[in-house]
Amino acid sequence: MDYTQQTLANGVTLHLLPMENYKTTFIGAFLYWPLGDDAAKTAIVPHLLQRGTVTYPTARELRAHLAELYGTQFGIGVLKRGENLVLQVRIQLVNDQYLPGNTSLLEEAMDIFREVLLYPYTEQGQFAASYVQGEKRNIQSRIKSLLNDKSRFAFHRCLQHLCPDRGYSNNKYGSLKQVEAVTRETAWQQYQLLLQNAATDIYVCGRFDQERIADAVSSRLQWPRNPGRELDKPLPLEKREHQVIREPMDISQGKLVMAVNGRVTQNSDLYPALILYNGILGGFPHSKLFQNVREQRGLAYYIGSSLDSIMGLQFISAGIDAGSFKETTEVVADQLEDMRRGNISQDELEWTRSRLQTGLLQMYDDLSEQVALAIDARISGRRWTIPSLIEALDAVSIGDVQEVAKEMHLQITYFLSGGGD
Amino acid sequence: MKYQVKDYPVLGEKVCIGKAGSGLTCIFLPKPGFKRKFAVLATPYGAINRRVQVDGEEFVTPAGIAHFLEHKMFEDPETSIENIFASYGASTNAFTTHTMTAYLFSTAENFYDCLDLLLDFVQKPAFTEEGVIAERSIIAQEIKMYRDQPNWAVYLGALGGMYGDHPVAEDIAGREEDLEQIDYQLLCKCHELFYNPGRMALVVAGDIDAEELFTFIAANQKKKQFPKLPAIKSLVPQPQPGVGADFSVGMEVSRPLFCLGLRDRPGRDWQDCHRREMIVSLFLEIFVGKNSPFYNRLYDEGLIDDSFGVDYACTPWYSHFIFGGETDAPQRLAQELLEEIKRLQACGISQQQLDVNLRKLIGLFIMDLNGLESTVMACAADWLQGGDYLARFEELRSLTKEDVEGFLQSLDADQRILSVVNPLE
Repeated sequence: MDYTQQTLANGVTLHLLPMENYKTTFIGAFLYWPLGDDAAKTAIVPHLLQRGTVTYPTARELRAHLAELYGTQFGIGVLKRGENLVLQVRIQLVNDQYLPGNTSLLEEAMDIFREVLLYPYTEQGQFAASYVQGEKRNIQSRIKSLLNDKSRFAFHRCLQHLCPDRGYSNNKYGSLKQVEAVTRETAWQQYQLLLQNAATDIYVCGRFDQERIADAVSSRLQWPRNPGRELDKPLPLEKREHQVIREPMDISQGKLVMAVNGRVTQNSDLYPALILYNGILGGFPHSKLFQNVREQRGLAYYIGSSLDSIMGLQFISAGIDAGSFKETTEVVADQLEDMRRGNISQDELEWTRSRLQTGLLQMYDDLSEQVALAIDARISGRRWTIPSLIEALDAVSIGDVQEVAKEMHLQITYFLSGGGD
Repeated sequence: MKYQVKDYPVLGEKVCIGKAGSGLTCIFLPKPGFKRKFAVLATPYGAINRRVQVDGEEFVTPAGIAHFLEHKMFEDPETSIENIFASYGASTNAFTTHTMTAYLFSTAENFYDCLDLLLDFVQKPAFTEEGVIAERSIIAQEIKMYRDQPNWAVYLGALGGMYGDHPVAEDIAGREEDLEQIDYQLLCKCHELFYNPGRMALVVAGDIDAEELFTFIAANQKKKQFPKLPAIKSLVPQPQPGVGADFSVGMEVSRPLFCLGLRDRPGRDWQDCHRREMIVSLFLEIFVGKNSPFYNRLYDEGLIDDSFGVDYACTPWYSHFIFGGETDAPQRLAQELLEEIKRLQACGISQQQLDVNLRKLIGLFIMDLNGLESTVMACAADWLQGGDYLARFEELRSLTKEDVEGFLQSLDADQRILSVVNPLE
């Protein structure tokens, strides 16, 4: 089963994906915006929308009404995907077939959804000053709290060294200073700008009646937009010489993050080979990194690799003793070299292929994975469906994986640690 | 194997339950339309089960041993369990809590190969003396990693304050010095005692034929021999009454992290605990849920943000709340929380608040059934404690204002301990 599409009167695309294994209906509006200097005033918008609407001026009133609608879940989100921000407003509600006597839950929930997105609570025609103040403060503490999670902190530092001159290195909420500079006026203007100009999709997934939902959405979500604005194509990072950066922090386990730039992205025909490459190197417990660094040498508690396949980047992360830095990075370098030479066993290839393919099959059951896949397609500009990826993976050879490996260039080795070495 | 079918028509769910010749309880949740198949094999043996009486004799083990055993079950000198799962395209995992150990896999294909492997590797240890020694340094790394996490430090601080040296306050992985005392023989003995199929439950969910599944499990169990189910008496101690002094430590954090621990009475038995958990989930929505006036006042005043959360645990040995999150004013926040509890004790709750939040919980219960894994894990945990997860739904729907107020009156807001991780100067 794949999405079907309809275009609403204002040009927004409505994507529908029935999933009969769900007892709920998910509805989400997704607005895409480039991650740049206006990140702070962009990212704060959904946070302000959740504070109140014309009919429910406070979060408490809004939440109380949602609770009455059998705990209809409502959430907002700000996601960084490639060099874009994805602003989300979403609800999820129980399909009324499971509820006693209730026949209009969907319509009542959609009324709230419409209010949150289009009719926020205002004072003098702008967001309320107290709400702007409160959400600025919350976002600033969130930016600061990055320090509390050492792995995420190390990852963020690595990005800042990888591409200091690019939006990609920014926090999705912008900098503390940029958040401080947001005012009622600028936030309100940005909200208007986003509604009118951001590329926008509405996703509906789960258990629903197709006609009823299409009607419930199209009759409520009409707002004037400027047509035609599309997303910019992802721009890969420049390849630069390898740099080793060590930063001190008083922690007992060091955090290693290595950034590998390959410029093979979801847009490339080599994408299936890229995910196989990553799986063989570090995606699983049977992968080279886990086996060689942790199992054979006991150097790490965790080690693995992940992809940002929109940017064509791979990140290798590990938790190791400060004294094991040299040995660990050498073993990792050996594994990268083995990948380039095609020193890959038949088992490594087939196990990884099979893990990836059953993983893809399992994604059919998972609503959030289905939505994530669709967002990636929108941003990368190339639609990989579950069946098309499963089929493409069948055809990947060790030679293809080797071709990807030769593109992969270790660019940053970042290590955050206390004493030792 | 014979099995019984229970129907939950309101939820649109069915459960099949049978018992294999080995004594293993098998629970199956048919999930037509799902591609994913999921199984968990679990035993009610966790980090707090360090002292037991076996045939009249006391058997005491070091902290961290249940978790150590969980790690070692994956060792096999002939092969790699993880790699065989990988070759089937499945992912596998395991975890240890205070009260149970669970092994699981998730797959879309080769389901029966995976199930066979799960039953075999958990029921037949293959680890070696050398492997046990090597494992100590791997677990030591794990302990170190957690030690750096301010969230973990503040949480352990709260548990320690509430329970002193009771096993519930220990790190589930133990301490580095405990690891040295764990050896091959001890692990074998623990496996023999606590992994007997008569104690364990296998829970499976997916688009699978029930008849075929139960026949398959019966055949797998028939091939093996198990020792007689030993008579084990749990000697988990009752914690000392009263709470200790507040705890605070400095770490590299951007602003204070807090955990407010509030002790509650232990449950009479697991059944009482399960009922209490439901009453408390309703109480918490009314007290500090996102639609409560109190939550919104704290949020507007900037005392809490999205990082705020509450955990409630109830067992026959201990029971407590842990309120946690980031805040600039931990002392004041703790004070506010306790005062609001006292206010509710004095003023009671309104029927309207109860109705709204009960509807919310009914909806959330149904929503949670979307997730195969979470449903299976909840069924397994409840079964090991003599309960029936899906039957909780009817009990939830019947909760009343008196239930919540009765619980509220039994709380003692003075049984509190504040744990804080402060930024370094």
